[in-house]
Amino acid sequence: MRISKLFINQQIADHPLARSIRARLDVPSEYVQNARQVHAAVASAPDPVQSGKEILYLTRNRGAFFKRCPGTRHYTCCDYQILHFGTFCYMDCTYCILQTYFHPPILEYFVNHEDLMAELDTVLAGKTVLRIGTGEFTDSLIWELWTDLSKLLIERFAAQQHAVLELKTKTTAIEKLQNLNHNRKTITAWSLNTSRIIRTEERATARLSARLKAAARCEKWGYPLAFHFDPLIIYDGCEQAYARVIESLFSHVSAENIAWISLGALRFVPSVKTVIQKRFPDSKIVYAEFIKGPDGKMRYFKPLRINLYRKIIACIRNHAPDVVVYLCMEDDEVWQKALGFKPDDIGGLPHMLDMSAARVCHLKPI
Amino acid sequence: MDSKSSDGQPGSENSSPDSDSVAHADTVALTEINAKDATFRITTRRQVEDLLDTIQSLGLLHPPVLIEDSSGYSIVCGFRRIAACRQLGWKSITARIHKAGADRFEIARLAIADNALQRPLNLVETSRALNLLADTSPDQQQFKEAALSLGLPISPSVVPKAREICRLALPIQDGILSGTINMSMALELGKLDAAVATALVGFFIQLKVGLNKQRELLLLLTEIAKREDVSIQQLIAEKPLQNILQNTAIDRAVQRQNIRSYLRQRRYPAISKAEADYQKRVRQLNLGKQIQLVPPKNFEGTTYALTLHFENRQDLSNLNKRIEKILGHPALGEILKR
Repeated sequence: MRISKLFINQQIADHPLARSIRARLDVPSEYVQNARQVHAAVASAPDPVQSGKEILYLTRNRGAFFKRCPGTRHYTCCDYQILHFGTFCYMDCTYCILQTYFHPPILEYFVNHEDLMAELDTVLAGKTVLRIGTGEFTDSLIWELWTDLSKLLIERFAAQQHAVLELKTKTTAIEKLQNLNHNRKTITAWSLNTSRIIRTEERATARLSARLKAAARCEKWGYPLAFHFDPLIIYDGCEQAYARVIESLFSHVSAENIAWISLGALRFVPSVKTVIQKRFPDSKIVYAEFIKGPDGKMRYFKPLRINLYRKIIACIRNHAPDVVVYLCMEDDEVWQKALGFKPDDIGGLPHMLDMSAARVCHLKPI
Repeated sequence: MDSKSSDGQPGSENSSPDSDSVAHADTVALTEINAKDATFRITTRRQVEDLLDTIQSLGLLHPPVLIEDSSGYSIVCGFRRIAACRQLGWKSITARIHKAGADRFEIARLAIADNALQRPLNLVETSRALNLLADTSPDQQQFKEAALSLGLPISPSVVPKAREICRLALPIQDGILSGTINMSMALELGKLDAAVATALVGFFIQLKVGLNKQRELLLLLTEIAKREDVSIQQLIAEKPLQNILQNTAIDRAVQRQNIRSYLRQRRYPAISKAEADYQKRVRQLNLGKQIQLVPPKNFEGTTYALTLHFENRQDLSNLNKRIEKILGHPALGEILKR
């Protein structure tokens, strides 16, 4: 990670967390009136996306910290809630939607944790099962070097019985999770892919073996686990390669501690293709057989997705017949053909995941 | 013929020697004119056959314009006239001559006006004219005013693109001049390696395809080449494409269609196969002209549409019977099973 400059919104200049991050990050800093000044600095760079990964903007979140997962009506969504504490990522995955999701994308961190925790208290005041994740607009653990938010969140979730926090990452930044009182209410989750895809498409991320070792350590510390094979990328030999990943996964962790495994084939908004072609000219992932889905995203031709899902699910089932496997943003036909049932058959995907969270994380909803 | 001055003006007419901008007329040996310096060349026409007869019989009606340089003279206006005179074996011509220190912006406008005020400039000539003007104008405002007065485009969205054209590989420029490719495609091709662009221009010329088809073919070729780690030239040179390209027995439109189908199948093998399978099964259903079965877009959804065309109750009743037959046909089961 190469943060070369820190921008601090003038309004939070004296916030203790802003001061703390500034002290931990030994880089030049500049106070700005608003985000426009940061955007201007990034947008004028030859590669604004790369530039956005090398600066950090500290500010206050004026909006809601909690958002619904941005699913579409055309495909089945897991319906989890996003805890939005920061945006973007210093790792550099070719397929990352965040490259076009923000204009321009910048590493941005909200320091008003007091507001975040107050909002979290409100959300947790309900007594139904909740699944809350932080890995939608950023990687959950890239911020560990400069902040103590994970500790704050893990301990807050440990103090209740009906909600789980999922920390999703491609890093191995788990050291600060050791010895925390998590009460099994935090799921540590890793995005997994084949070694080839990690090497060619997931720049600056941890290697597969490192991710799995980190998962094993978290399991040893008592954390429930989850894994996301997302995006699954089709290439010659990918089925065997994903089979090897699954074999390696179950040689590192035990199935009974896994809350869920998700599968999601590569999909992207058309504008991401242009970014990939420009920023990663050697990447071939956009030259597979894609169609435009009803949600406007490019997806692998359906039979190709179904075929890959079937193979991977069969492989997972060989190792862990009972682990909960779900498909991220797929329709009933794909569910039926890949998993043998539709979400509605089991009460819906959110229900299926809630039940698994309750079982693996020992939830006691009222 | 030893030499001929035939500009209709006295050869001894001189302008003030103190003025760098004002030309004077003089007789100049052709050996003193540097024909290779294309700084002020706007025209893309190289042939001079159309000028030979006139010049031979009437002389040079309009004297070329030259500018002094370190070794003699460079041509400002009259590239083709001077080439014709050389071809006719002349030794010297009468020309209007500007001093070396003449205002380059003014000289540039002269060179452009000599072409632009006689005939519409083609895209390459427009590009040359814009570049010449931009390179010599003292500032942006004067560039715009001059361009406007010379009938050149001044739109900020067009000028940079147009200026790019004359810097492209010559085969691309030739493609523009032959009317095979337009500015948009030329700029696309300009992003590619010159050899690849040359191969593509040749490919498009051979197929005589319009812009939309060019775009589609370029996209297919580019993406296949990237995915398979081969060059576009290799792809074009491969046997399957060459077999289609060299098959002179088939109509050009069929040839184009075959090329497109081949490339599409190679780029999207699974999708192409699914489409072909679907079409085969629809044919088995023998729907006739009054019934259309429309699959879900890209086979992504699961909803099919059946459209019926009828004129009266009897028609509809007949269609109803046909639908009953279709419902029992195994091909429908195959289609819906996917």
